[in-house]
Amino acid sequence: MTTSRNRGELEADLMNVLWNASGPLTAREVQASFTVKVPAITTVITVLDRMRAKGSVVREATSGRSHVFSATRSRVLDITETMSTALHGADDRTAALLLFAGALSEEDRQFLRAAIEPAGEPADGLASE
Amino acid sequence: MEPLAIVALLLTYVGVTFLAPWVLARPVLVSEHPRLVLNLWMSALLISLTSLTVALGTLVGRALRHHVEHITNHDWLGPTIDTMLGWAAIAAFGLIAFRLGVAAQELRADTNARNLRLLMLLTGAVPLTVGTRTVLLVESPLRVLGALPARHHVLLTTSLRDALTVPQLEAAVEHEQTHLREHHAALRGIGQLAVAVAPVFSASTRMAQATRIATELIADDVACAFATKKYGPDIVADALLAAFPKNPDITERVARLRKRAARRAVH
Repeated sequence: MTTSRNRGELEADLMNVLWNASGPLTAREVQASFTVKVPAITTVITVLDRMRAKGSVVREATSGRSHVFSATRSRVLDITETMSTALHGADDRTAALLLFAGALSEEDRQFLRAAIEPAGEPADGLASE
Repeated sequence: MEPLAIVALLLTYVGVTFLAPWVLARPVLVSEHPRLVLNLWMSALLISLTSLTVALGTLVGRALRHHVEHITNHDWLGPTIDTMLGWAAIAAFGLIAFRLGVAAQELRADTNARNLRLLMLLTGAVPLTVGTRTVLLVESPLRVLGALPARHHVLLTTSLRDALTVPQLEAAVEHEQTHLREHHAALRGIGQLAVAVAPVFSASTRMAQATRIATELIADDVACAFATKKYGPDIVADALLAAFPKNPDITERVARLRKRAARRAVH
């Protein structure tokens, strides 16, 4: 049985640790905050560096030899941006998220319009939009 | 199996693949009976795929049989034709498997990439009880309510929660739960894969579209039936309008729901 996370899950967990912290953390402090499935310190550093390259984490040098890491955006801002990215061009084909708004294409709407519009006259609700 | 039976099976494949979309992908039928359309289309796909597999498998079997049987000089024509058809069947199997593989891989890669981003949203989510359902609430100014099939979760943002009344929210969540309960994401995927198996028929593309629309309408109808019992017939349409007042994408669904509610009221 494997106990490892995939890359995306570990990044999400690291972001949570940074968001929950009261200030910037060293890689070792980040690692210490894990109670289950504790990642290796080298993995933590590698993933934090990768996240830094992506712009989700900033690294600052301390007076000693170590570095501290913190999230570049607040949790709310990050979630909003992630959601915008996830929903941007949310191609219904992939069905990754079935939205209440429907995500019907213009062709789909034409198809549906043909069913509900009486000949020559738009249906109630269509005319008002 | 007799050659005639093989021909009948191949004709069944061609006939069903061509006729089913032609008959079923009619706007009025999809709008009035989305569940019937979806069930018939999935049955047609199953029949079509089974016919093709049995027919091609039999052709391959007939070709292989000649390799182990003694062939005399005077019956060379039949075995030769069978062997050629056997090779053609193997080629057809290979082509379909390749097209299915490519389509499935594309579908999976797209879904995985988007699911990963969506799963990151869940790390900041808290559970919220809506009626008898539990959804994951995410703080965001974006108005989003969606079913995440990969984790069987319904995701709701604070902004959308605040825009809806309790009855509207319950109806909206029921809509999303229907998508999850009835595996609509998988059905839409099957609709896409069917296009890969029957590429020469543009009707299958139209059927994939009908599948997509039918799943949306089924979710609307289930939510509407649920809400009508508790609150009234217009709750789902009201929820759509309250949630996305400026979004034209919902116009036709709202009109359809209103029309059905009015018809029920008359009856």
